[in-house]
Amino acid sequence: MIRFATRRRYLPSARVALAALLALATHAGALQAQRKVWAAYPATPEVSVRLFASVGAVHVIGWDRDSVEVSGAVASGSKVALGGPQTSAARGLKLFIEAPTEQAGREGSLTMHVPRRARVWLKTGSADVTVTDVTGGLDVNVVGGSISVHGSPRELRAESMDGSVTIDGAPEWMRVKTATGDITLRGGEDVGASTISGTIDARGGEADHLKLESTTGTIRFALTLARGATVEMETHSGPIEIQLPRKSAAEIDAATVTGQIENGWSGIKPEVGREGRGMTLTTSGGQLGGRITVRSFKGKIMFKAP
Amino acid sequence: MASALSLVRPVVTTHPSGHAEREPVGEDALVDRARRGDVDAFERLYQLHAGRVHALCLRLAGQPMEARELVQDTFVHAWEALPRFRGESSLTTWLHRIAVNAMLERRRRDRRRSARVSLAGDEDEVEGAPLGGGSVPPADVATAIDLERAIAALPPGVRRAFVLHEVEGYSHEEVAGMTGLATGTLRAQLHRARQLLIRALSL
Amino acid sequence: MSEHPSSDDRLDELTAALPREIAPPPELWGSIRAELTPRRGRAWWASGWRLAAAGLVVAVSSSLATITVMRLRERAPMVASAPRAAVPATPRATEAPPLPAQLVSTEQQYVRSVEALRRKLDERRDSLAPSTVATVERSLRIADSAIAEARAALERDPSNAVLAALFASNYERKIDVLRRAAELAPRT
Repeated sequence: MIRFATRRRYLPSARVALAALLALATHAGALQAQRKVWAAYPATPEVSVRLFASVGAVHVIGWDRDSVEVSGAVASGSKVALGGPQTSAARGLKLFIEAPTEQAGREGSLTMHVPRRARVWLKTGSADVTVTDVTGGLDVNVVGGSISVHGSPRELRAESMDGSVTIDGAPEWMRVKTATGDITLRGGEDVGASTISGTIDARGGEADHLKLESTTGTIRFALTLARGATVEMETHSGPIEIQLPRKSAAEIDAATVTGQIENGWSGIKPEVGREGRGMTLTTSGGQLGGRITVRSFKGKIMFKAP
Repeated sequence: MASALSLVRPVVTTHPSGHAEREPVGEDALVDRARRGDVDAFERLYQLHAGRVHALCLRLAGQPMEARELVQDTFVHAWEALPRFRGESSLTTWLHRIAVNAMLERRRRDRRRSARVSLAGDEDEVEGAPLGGGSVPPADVATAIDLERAIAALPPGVRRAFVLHEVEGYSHEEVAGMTGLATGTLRAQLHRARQLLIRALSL
Repeated sequence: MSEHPSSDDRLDELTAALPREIAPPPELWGSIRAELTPRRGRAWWASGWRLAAAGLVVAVSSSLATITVMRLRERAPMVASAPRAAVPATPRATEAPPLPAQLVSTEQQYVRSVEALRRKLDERRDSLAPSTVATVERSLRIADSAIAEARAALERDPSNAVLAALFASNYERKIDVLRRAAELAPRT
C-alpha cells in the first residue's frame, strides 16, 4: 500500500500536531495575586474564537500564523477554561476566564494572537480592549472598559456601556453602541453609531452609508462624503456639528422640532419650521454629492466649513 | 510547526449563558424571525432540530468529532441559506439535505487534499464490489457490537445510503436526489449494507 | 414454516428502534453562534416601526375626536442596588391624551418590550456591579426624559412625522440599553 499525504498549510496532520499546552504558575511576592496563563492551538485561517474574560486588559492581535495563542496573567482564583481540539486545526474555540470577584476582574491582562481572518467574539466586564490587524469579523462587548480597534475588520460590532469606543479604520459593516461612552470613528461603507449621552466624533475618513444618533450626546461629523453617500444624524437634545467643504454638492435636509439651526457653510438661511416652531434647512445638490438628513428635537444643528 | 508536546487537560468549567428566557413561538414564526436576522429565534430552531441533525450526522460520519463538525457546518450553512428557504419541504428534511451536502463536500475535500492511494477502495465504487470489502468486523466478535457501531463501521457510501433510507426513512428517489447517485447504485448500496449488518450482528 | 423472524425482519426491527434524536454536546451552539454572520438587510434606520409611525401619522385625519384613547401604563424605573438611591419616577402615561391610533399601537409594543426587559434586568440586578447599575439607570433616566418630552410634543402636534420618528428612536435606544444590560454577565 502506497500512501502519499499532502498537508494543507493550516491543517497539520495528526502525527505532527501543534500541541495545546496550558501552563499555570503562581508568583510569590508582590504579584502573587495573579497567575500566568498560556495556551496555543492550531487553527484554521477563519477560526471563530469566543473569549469571555474578566481581566483588566485584553489585546487581540491578528498574525500570519495558523494558530491561536493566549498568554497573560489573571487574578488568582480565576476560573480558567481554555478548551479546544488538541490535535487538529480548530475551527472554533471557546475560551473563558472568570475572576472570583468584581475587583479581581480588573486585574491582569491577556494577549491573544489570532489568524488575521479570524472571527473574534469578545465579552469582558471592565477590561480595556485593543484589537489590531484582525480583518475577519469582530464582536466586542464591554461594560466599563474602553474599546480601540486598529485596522478594518470586515464586520465590526462594538458595544460598551460607559467605556469609550475608538475605531481607527473603516470596516465594511460596523455597528457601535454605547450608553454614556464616547465614540470616535473614521467612516466606512455601512456604519451605525448610537449613544445615549456619549459624544460621537466622526472624522478623518469617508462616509458611504452612515447613521449617527444620540439622545443627549454631541454629534460631530467631518467625514468626506462618498459618491451617492447617504448620511443620517439624529438627536433628541444633543448639539450636532456638521463640517462640509464649501464646494460640497451634498443635498441637505435638516429639521428640528424646537431647536436652532445655524448655517455657516453656505449662504442659505434656515427657515422657521411648521407652525412657527423649530427650524428647517434644505439645499439641493448634485445626485452624486450625497445626501445628509439631520433631525433634532431641541438640539442645535450647526453647519460649518473647514 | 512546533513539535508535539505533552498535553495538559484544561480545566472545564461552565458559566451562565446569560440568555433571557423566550416565550414559546411556533416554528413558522421562528423561521420568519431567523430569516430576518434574529439569532435568538435561530437558536430556538437549533434547540428544536439539533437532536435529529446530530443523530443523522453521527451516523453519516461514523465518529463523534466529525459529527460535531458536520452539525456545525449544517447549522452555519442553514443560517446563510434560510432567506431562500420557502417551505417546500419540512425544515427537518431541509436541514438533512444540508447535512448530507456538507458530508459529501467533506469527502470531496478529503480526496482533493490527500493523494493517498488505498486498497480499501473508493466509496463510490460499490456496484459489484465483493461483500468482503469494507471494515465490518468478522462475525465471531460481532456479539458485542450493537447496531449503531455496526452502522459506523460500514463503508461511507453504503453507510450513507442505509442511514438516509433505512434509518431516516427517505425514499429511494429522495436519497438519490440528496446524494446524486443513480437509483440503481443506491439499491445496490442498500443491499450491501443490509448484508454487512446482518453478518456483523449475527442476525 | 419458521416462527422466527428472518434476518431482514430482525434488522428492520433493530433499525426501527434506533433513537431518532441524539443530543449534541451542549457547548456546540456556542461554536455555531460564533460563526453566524449578521444579516445585512436594508438600512437599519428604515425599521418597520419607524416607517409605520412616521407614515401613518401623516395620514391621520383631523377627526381626532373619534380616535380611541388608550391607557398606557409604564412601570416605575429600576431602583438602584446598594447604595440604594431614590430614582425619579418616569412620567406615567395613565392619563395620556389621545395619540393617533397607529402610534398608540406602536408605543404599546415598545412598552411591552420595555416591561419584559425590565423584569429580566430586575431579576439580575443584585448580581451586577453597582457602577454598572448606576450607568444603566442614568441612561434610562435620560431616555425616559426624552421620551416624555417627545410624547408631550407629539400630543400637541400628532401629525408631525419628524416628531414621530424621533419619539420612536428614543424608545429604541432605551430598549437597546435595557437589552444589553439584561444580557450582562454577573459581576460586570
